[in-house]
Amino acid sequence: EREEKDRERLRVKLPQRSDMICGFATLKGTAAMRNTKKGSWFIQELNTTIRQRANDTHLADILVQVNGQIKSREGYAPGSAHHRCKEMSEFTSSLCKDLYLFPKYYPNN
Amino acid sequence: MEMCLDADSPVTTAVLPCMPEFYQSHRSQAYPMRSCPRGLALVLSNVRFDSANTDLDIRRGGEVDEETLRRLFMELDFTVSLHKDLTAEAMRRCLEQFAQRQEHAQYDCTVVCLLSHGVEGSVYGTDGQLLELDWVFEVFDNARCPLLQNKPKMFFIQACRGEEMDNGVDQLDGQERT
Repeated sequence: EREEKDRERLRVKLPQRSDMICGFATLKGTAAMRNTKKGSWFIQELNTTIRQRANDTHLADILVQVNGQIKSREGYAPGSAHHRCKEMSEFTSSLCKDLYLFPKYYPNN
Repeated sequence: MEMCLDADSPVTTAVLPCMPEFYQSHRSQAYPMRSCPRGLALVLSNVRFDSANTDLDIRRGGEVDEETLRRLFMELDFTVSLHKDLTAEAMRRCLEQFAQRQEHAQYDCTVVCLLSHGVEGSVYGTDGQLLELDWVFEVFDNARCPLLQNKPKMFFIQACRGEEMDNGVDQLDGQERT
C-alpha cells in the first residue's frame, strides 16, 4: 500500500490541453482576405515572416510580426466595395516555453 | 466567405538558417527542437466545394496557399501531408489518423494547417458540413494524443470567422500615407 501511495505522489499530471499555439487569419465574426493570384494574406505573411525571421525569432513573436503586417494591409479592388478593406489576424497560445524552429540547425551534425 | 484582392507578391527566398551560437544561447528556455525531421505537418485545404450540397464558392488562390505551406514546412524539415477537398467527415478521419501516427514519438513538434471557408469556431468540409475547431484541438490534447505531450503543437487556420467585412477606420493622424 505504501508503494501505491509513492506511485501516486510521484505521478506527474498535465492539464487536459497544453502546449498549443493557433494562428487565426482573422478575428471572430469577420471575413478573411485572399488574393486570387498570390493566396491568402495571412498565409503569405506567415510564409514571408517565417522564412526571414525563424532563424532568430520564436513563433509567438513571429505571429506578432504577422499581426503587424496584416494590420497594415488593405484590399485592392478599385471601384468595388472591398477596396481598402482591412483584416486583423490573431493567435492563441498555451505554449509554456519559447518555440524556436531552429531552422536547418542540427546540433549533432 | 472570403475575398480576393490587392496586389502584393509572395516571398520565396530561402528560409534563413539558425546559427549555432543562437541555438546555444536560446535552447535552455525553448522547447527541444532537434529531431530530424522536426515533425509531421498536415495541411487540409478545401478549394472546391460540392455544388450539390452547398453554395460555397471556389476559393480561388487557395492552391497558392497549399503550395506555399507545403514548400515552407518542407524547407523547415517537416514531413508534409497535403490533402485537398475533403468532406467534414473525411477531415475528421484524416486528423484522427494523423494525431495517432507513431512517428510523433520520435519527433519534437507537429503542425496542422486548415484552409477552407468557415464560420466562428468551425471550418467547412467540401460537403458544406462544419468541422469544429475545438474538436480538432481535442484530438491533439494530452489525453487523446499522449505521444505529443509536452511538445509544441502548431495550428494555422485560414478561414473566415463570420461574414462581416472590416471596412477599416481612419487613423486619427493618418491624413497622408507615406
